[in-house]
Amino acid sequence: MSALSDLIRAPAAAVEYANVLLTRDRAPLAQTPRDAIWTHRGATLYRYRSEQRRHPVPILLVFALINRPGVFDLRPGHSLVEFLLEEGFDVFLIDWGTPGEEDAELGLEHYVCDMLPSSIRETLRAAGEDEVTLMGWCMGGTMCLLHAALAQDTPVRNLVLLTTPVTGASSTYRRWIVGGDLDVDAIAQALPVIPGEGVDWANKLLKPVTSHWTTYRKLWDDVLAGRVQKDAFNAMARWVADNPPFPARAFADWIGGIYRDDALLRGDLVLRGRRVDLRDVEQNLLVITARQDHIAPPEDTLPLLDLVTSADVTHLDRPGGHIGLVTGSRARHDLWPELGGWLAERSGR
Amino acid sequence: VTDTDDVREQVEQVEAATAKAMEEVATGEAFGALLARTAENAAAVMAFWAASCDAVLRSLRVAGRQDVARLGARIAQTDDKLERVLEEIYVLQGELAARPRPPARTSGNGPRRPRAAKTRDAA
Repeated sequence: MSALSDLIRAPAAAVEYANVLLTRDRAPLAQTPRDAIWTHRGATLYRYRSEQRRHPVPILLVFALINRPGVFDLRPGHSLVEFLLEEGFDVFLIDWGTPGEEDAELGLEHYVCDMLPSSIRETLRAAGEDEVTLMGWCMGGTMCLLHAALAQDTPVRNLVLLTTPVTGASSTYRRWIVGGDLDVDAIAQALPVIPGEGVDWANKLLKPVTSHWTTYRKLWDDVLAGRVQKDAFNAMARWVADNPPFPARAFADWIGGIYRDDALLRGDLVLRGRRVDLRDVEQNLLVITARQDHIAPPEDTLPLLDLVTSADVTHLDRPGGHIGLVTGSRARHDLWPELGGWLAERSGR
Repeated sequence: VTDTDDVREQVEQVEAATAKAMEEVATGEAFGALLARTAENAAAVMAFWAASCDAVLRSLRVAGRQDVARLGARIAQTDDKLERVLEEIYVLQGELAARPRPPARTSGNGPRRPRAAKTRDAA
C-alpha cells in the first residue's frame, strides 16, 4: 500500500479506530445461556444450558480473583464453554462476584475451604452425580489444587490446571516483592480491598510497551488495512479492563504466601489450621502451560508434576501467552480438542 | 517494497527494541523497589483519604464507608449462617433418605375404614 493511499484512508480509519476504542465497554461477553443455581456472599454458581449432555461427570470452571471468569466464554465461536457444551459436557462456572470492603477479612482459606466445597456440592446436586471435574485457570487453578490437597474426601475425579502457578520463583512479581521489599501486609492492612485497577496496572508493567503501545499500534494497522476484527478486539479489551477488587487478606495470602514466601512449594502453607501438602493430590491431573506466559511462566508450574501422587498425569506445553493460549484463534483447533479428548476419556461412569 | 513499508518496518524495529529494554528495566531490583515504595505510598494515601472522608461524613451524622462496610459484614455473616443451615438441611436430608422406611401399619382386620363424616342433624 502506498503512502498516498494510506493518507487518503487515514481520516476514515481514524473514525473507525476511535469507534473501536469508544465502543469497547459495550462489547458482549459471556453470552452462552446459563442459569444461576446458587449464590453466596456475592459469588454465583452458574449452570450452562444444554440439551446434549453425554458425559456424566460435570465440569466446574474456576477462575482467579483477578479479572472475571467471562474469559471462559469470551464470545460466540471463541468460547471454551461453548466448545465443552458442544462436546457433551455438563458445564458449571463459579463467579466470585465483586468483593466489597465487607469482604476484607476473607482470606484464601475462605475460597479454598468454604466456597469451593460448597460450589462442588451444589454442582453435584444439580447434576445428580457423585464426582466432578475441576478446571481452574491461573490463580483459580491454584485454588483448585489447594482444595484437592486439603480435602481428602473430595468428590473431585479430574483436575485440569490451565497456566497455574504453584510458585513465583521465576516470575517478575517475585523480583518486585522480594527485591523491592514490598510490605504486602502493610498494604493489606491499609486497604480493605486492593483496587482492581492497581492489580491491572502492575500486570501491565510486566510488558509496558506491548500493553500501552503495541496493542494500539497494531489495532491502527489493522484498521488502516481494513482487516480489523472489532468484536474480537473489543471482547478481549473489555475483559482485560474489567478488574474486580481483591480482598485484602486474600491478597496478602496470595502475594505474601505463594509469591514472597514460596509457602506452597516449601510445604509451609497452612489453611484453616491444616498444612497443604501437594503429595496429597491424587486426582487425574492435566496441567497445561503456555510457553510465552509472562504471568505464570511454565517454570512456576512444572515443580508440581514432581510432587503430586496422581497416577494419571498429563502435561501439555503449547505456544502462547497466559490468556491467549486458551482464547487465541489456534486454541479451537489445537488445544481445545486435546482438552476435550482428555476429559471425555475420564468423564464416564 | 514501498517507502511506507520501510517506515513501518523501522518503527516496528524501534518498538521491539524499546519493548525489550523496558521489560529489562521492569525486571530489575531498582524498579521493584521503586514500584514497592509507590504501591505502599498509594495505599497509605488511599487509606488516609478514606479515613478523612469518613471523618467528614460522620461529623455530618451521615453513615461513612466504615459504617456501610460494617453493615455489609453483618449481612455477609447472616449469609454465612444461612449457608450453614443449608448444609445441615442437606445432611439431614441424606440421613432421612438413608434411614429404612417403617413398615406400613397392618394391625386390625384389614384396611381401616374411613370415618363417617359428621353430619349435623338439621332437625
